[in-house]
Amino acid sequence: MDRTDAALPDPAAAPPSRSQSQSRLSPVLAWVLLAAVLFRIVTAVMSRGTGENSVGLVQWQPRERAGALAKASGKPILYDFGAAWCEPCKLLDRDWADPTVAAKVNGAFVPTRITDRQREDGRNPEDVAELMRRFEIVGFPAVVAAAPDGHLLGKLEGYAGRERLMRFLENPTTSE
Amino acid sequence: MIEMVRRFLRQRFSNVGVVIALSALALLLAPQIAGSGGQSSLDGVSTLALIILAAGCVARDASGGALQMILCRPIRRSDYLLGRYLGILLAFALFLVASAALGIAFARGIIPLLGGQARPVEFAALGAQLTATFLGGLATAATILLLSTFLPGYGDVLGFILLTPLSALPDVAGQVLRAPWLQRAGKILRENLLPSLDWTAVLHGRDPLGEASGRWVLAVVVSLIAALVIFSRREFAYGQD
Repeated sequence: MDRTDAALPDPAAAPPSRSQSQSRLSPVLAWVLLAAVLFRIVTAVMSRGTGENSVGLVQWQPRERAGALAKASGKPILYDFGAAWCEPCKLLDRDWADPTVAAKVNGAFVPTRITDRQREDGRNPEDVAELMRRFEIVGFPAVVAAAPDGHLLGKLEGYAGRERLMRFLENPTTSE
Repeated sequence: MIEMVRRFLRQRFSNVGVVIALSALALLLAPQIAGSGGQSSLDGVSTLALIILAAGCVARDASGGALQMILCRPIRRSDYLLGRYLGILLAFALFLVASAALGIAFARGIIPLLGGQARPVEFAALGAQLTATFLGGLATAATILLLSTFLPGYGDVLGFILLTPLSALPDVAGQVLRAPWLQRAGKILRENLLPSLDWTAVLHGRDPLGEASGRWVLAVVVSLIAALVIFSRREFAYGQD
């Protein structure tokens, strides 16, 4: 903070030159801004292609790999169906940041996120559309547990709170 | 600058209305903390507290004439502005700590006294939630500070509240007009203007260098620099604003 201030003209020490001090960004501020812009660019480049897999503490897997990982580990797949415009999905995203929920999901499932793009792009990729047909997804969010061979174990539709989510994760076959 | 921070704290905590409002919000947060054992997010209520603390942080001084008196002294405008920012953050931290202490008192004293059974407060989880809430507040405070440098009175709070629906307008227009490019532009605008960062996840080491972190840092830096630039260029007339 002091460095920032030091870069600005000291009215007591220097003769007033308001036009100079007020019309230009101080060099330190310009460097801070440049650093922030560079950080923004670096993080954007580093995150390319991982957007939907970086929510909360859950170790989301790309949907293309989820089936193979489930077969290899014998764990069921946990699908989180959501959409960018879906506000309740953001509430669910907060639960994925809960350490207890995340530990349960990471330990017992192969989690993967499926983002609906119907509204934005007019259609979904074929594999997403097929999953949505197979699990009869009609609203968001929807959390689906499926066996490694793909058959449905249980489905939790809508956002019903953290406790309900935990009950579903404990025993997906008794879902509503 | 320390004097400016002190002045801000004196101003805020000597205002009876502000103290009553903050006390009420702390009383709302305390049972939430006690009920969840310190695990629940503190976002909603604490954001309201932050808005109350930051409301009119510069504009009220300017309209009351105090700012003009302060700037007569050999003090840099950046000192004044950053003092206000740090003052808001310090006051917010005090509010969070007080709420947490009240929450612990609820869990250990009041709820058992009433015959209830509270979850034991997990201090690590509570600390993480408090830190996440505080860090999230840096962006909110920076935005309100920026708005306060050019909007009169409590226009900064109104502007902050309106930012959310206004930034969603292009997205909505894109949906209505069936223009995917407008929707994408709206999404980019919203994500960069009001970036959200899941600090709880970041504090647990989840994707600290993710794109959301970059957006968030840039938004805070741009807000603070814009506030400094606007504030250093403004002329404050005596007796009017």
